[in-house]
Order: sequence, then structure tokens, then C-alpha cells
Amino acid sequence: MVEVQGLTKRFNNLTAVDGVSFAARPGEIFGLLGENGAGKTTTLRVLATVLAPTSGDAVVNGFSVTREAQKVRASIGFVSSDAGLYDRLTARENVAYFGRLHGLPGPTLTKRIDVLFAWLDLKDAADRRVGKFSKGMKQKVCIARALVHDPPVMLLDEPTAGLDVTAIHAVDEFILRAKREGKTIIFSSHIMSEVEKLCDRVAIIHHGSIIAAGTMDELMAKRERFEDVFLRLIGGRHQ
Amino acid sequence: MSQSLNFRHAWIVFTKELSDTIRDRRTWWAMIILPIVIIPLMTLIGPRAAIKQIEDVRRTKSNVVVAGAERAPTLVQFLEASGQFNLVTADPATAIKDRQALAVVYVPADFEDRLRQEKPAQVRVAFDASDQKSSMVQEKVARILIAFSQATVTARLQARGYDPNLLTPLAINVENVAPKEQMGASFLGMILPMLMAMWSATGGLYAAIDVAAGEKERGTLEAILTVPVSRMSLAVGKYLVVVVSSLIAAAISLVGFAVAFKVSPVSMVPGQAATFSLTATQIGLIFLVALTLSAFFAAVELAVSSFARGFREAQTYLTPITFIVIIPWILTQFVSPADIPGWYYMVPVMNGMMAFKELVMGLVNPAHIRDTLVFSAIYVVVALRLAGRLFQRESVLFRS
Repeated sequence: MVEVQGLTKRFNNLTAVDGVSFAARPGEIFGLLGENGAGKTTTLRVLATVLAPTSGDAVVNGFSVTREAQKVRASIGFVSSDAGLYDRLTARENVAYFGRLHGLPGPTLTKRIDVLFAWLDLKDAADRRVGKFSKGMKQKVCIARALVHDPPVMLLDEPTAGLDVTAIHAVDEFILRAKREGKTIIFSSHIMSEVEKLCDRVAIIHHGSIIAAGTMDELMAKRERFEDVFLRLIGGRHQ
Repeated sequence: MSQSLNFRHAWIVFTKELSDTIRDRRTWWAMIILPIVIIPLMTLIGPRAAIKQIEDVRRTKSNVVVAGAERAPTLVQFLEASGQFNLVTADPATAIKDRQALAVVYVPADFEDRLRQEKPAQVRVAFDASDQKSSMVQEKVARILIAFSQATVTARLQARGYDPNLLTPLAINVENVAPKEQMGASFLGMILPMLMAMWSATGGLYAAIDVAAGEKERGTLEAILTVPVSRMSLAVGKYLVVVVSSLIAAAISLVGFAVAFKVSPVSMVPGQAATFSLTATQIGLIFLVALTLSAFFAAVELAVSSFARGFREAQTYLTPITFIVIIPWILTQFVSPADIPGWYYMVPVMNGMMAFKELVMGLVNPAHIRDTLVFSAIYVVVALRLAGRLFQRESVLFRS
């Protein structure tokens, strides 16, 4: 469960996120749709406790991001599109490092990594250094790393950006599996078809504010294509 | 955000960063190859070249022109009898410039007459002071001319029936009472503090850049900040890796130096067969001082590195650190430990170098060691606080 209440984040003079509120439930994929620079990444970074909000708060798995950051961190898996890995470590070592920091004991950690690598089709590459991996394989390792502690909440910031079709399919399958397991998933993207494909409910974010939110059906009640809704809403704001 | 230090977390970070560092070729270069290769080069080949030049001049006959040789047969004969010179014929005005001779002796036309009249005869020696060999030959020529002068005095005194000893009231013998160990120690006291400080500073440089600025550039920093680990634990784990790298480099440079000294003690102290040994206590204290230097540099380097946006920026900021090491060394290299003011032991880096110097020379001054350790500890805590704080500031973490 993720509840965001009046979240605002300012950098000097720039207001990146302006009073954003929404809620995502377990077993649900909640989409944040917006152009580049709309405030999606900043919102997710605040939820991930990497940035502190200027005002407002968010409750993640029952913990406040402003007051209980460490407990929030234990509850989330955060994946971003430009996340990096330690090139000189193997895929397994990269994931194990995070598992150990999450406090997973050795045998549990080994088992968990085996399960994740099997799901993500990384078994053969597990003990190779990640430096020469393809972008898709690196992103899969990032996903395994973020979810090594089996968190109830997943924060995915454009997790499929720049990946080829096969990799996108593997990541999508993984996200749907997590949904079936009852995890709360927040998925951001600037590509409408992706959101359409995966998300149960969507918030459209523009210039730091949410300008529309609802289920896919609600947003598409007029039987318009989702893309048209998105462009109309954004266009309306521009005028 | 929690700031408390969790030792288990710091240890996990430390072991990961250490294995990552060990797999980085650049670290090997800075930590092991450079100290192993450069020290013997610096300490063996450098002085050896200088010694070879000295020996060359000492052993071989040097070319000298006597301008007006025909007017001073006695002097020419004396110079030849010394067996140290080849008297060559060349234009005195250009002989030195053209490298035909290393010194020119100008003899006046009335040289023999003035000798006979027992009046001073003007002899001029020309040489090139900017050329070390020419300077040494000039000294050789001057010694022989003085000997010629004394022989003439002796002859004159004997002709008058006086004892030549009349003019030598004192027989002066200069004696070096410093034992061989101290001769070695004095030289080492000059060069070792520099080497140890240098490698304490540069040994951990790449590790510092990699674990902070590198983490930012690779994009792994954001991921690591979403793990329930305090930023102080992260900073401490990374800090320890930098300290360990510095210490290894310093230790290797010390070992390399000791080996070089064993192999060729003479080349280390020109003209002197010096020996050198340290007690276990001294070695222990030297490593304690090396630890404080490494601890200080590591904290500064980590603070700077976590402030930088990426590898290159960190490298640009941190390269001057080698010059910072050289400044206190230049100020103190020729100062004897006895003349070092007490406050030197309170200045960062300088105190470590001074303590090294004392320890190498066999002096264990508890007050100085205490000041060095206490003040270094204070600087380490301040620098580490700064590094830890930088790890918590959003503006620094996401500057790109």
C-alpha cells in the first residue's frame, strides 16, 4: 500500500512535484504517466527516500517517508531506467551485496538469488562480471537487486526504457508475476502503450501536478484511444 | 534520516568495496606497481648517476689548457707530475665552450721571473660553474696549484735554513663521529618522510575516487541509498577501504626502500658506507604514524570525491594533493629533528613527516608522538564528519 498526500518537492526555484496525492493498493499496478521532466522520477525518488519532500508526506507499507525512512527502505524495491551496476562484480555478487545490506542470511540469500535469476532468465550469466552485459541483461540484474529482499512495494521508474523487445517482454512478465503475488507496484512511463498494457489505474502527471487519475476504463470511457486522452489533457494545460 | 553507525553494515560495505578495488587495475598501479618500481628508480639510479660522474672526474685524467705554458715550465711540470691532467693545446678563449678542456689556467708572461723574485705571480683559473664536471676539475686544479704554492714556500724556507713546520702551527684532523647507522638514518630521515607521506596520499586515491565519485557516475549511488543502511555506515565502510589501500601502498614503499638500501647502501649515501636498522618498536611507531597520515588523507580524499560529479572531476580536484605533500617536505627536509618547533607536530601532514623523521633517526620523543597522534585524530574526525555529511546532502549527491 502506498498513500501519497500533498507531496511537494522544490529544488531551489524549481518546483518539480507540486502537491501530488494518490494511492496504490496491493495487487495493483499503478501507472504514473507523463512527459520527460513532468515530475515522475522526483516523485518516485521521494517515495524511495532518496530525496526528502519539501512538504507533504507519503506512507509506504504503513511507514512515513519523512519519519521512518529506514523502515520504508526495507519495504521497497526501487528500479530506475539509468541505474548502474558494479562492473567488476558478477551478477550474483551485485545482487548479494544488496541482499546482505538488507540483512538476509547467507542460505536464504543464495536461494532467493537463484529464484530471481531463474525468473529473469539470468542463470547462465550469474557468475560473469556484469561489465560486458547487454543493456537488457543489466536491467534484469538491477531488477533482481531491487527485489532481493522480496519487498511488498515495487517502485519502477521507466524500467523498460531503451530495452529491446525480448527484454521488455521478460520485464513485463516479471512485473505481472509480482502483481499476482500481491505486491503494490508503481510504474512510471512516458509511453502510453506501456501503461495501457500493464496498469490497472493511472495518474497523468504534468508540470509536477496530477491532472487526471482513474482506472483505464474511466479514462477511456469515451472510447477514445488512451493516447488521445493523454494528449488532450496535456494540450489543455498548455493553452 | 538515521545517522548512526552500524558496524555490520560498514563491514559489508568495506568487504564489497575492497574486492571491487582489488579487481581494479588502476588501484594495482597506484598501490603496488608504482611504489615498487619508482622507489628503486629514484633511490638507486638517481644517486648512482651522480656518483658515477664524481668517480669519472676522480679516476680519469681531465683535459686542461695552460695558456702560456711555454712561460711557466716549472708549473707545467708540476701539473703533469700530479698525473691528474691531460694538458692539451687549444684556443683558451673557446676551449671550455667547445668541450676541449674543462678548465683553463692562465699564466702571466713574467711568471718565472716573479717566482725567482719571490713576488706573488697572478694565476687565473677559468671554468664553467654551470657544469658540474668543470666545477670539479676546477677544484682539482686549485688543489694542485695550492700544493705547488706550498712546495715553493717549503723550498724557500729550507734555502734560508728554516724548518718548514714553522708555518704549520696546527695539524688539523677533522673526524666524523657519527656512527654508520646515523649517517644512513640522516639520509633516510630526509627522504623517507616524503615517500611515506606521498604513498599514504596517493595509495588510496583511486579507491577514494571509485567508491564515491565513481558510485555517482555509474548510477549505483541511488540504488544503494534505497537500502536500509545509514549513510554514516556507508561512508565509514568506504573510508576504511581508502585507508587500507593507502596503508598497503605506504608499507610497500617502505619495504621497497629497505630492499633498495640493502642492495646498495653506498649509492644511497654518496661516498659513505652507511648502514641502517630499526627496532621493532620504531617500526611499530612508524606504522602508527603512517596510519594517521593515511587516515587523514583518506578522509580528505573521500570528502572531495563525494563532492565531485564523476571520476574526472574528482581526479582534477585530487591531483594537487601530491603537491600538498611536497610543501611541508621542502620546508623541513634539511631541518634536524632537534630544531623542529613543537607546533609542527600539530599541523596536519607536517606532523606525520616530522614524526617519521624523528623515528627514523632513532629518537622517540613521547610528547611529539602524542601530539602527532592526538592532532591527527582530530583532523581525521573533522574530515570524516565532512565526508559523512556530504553523503547526506541531496545537492551534493545529485549534482549532475
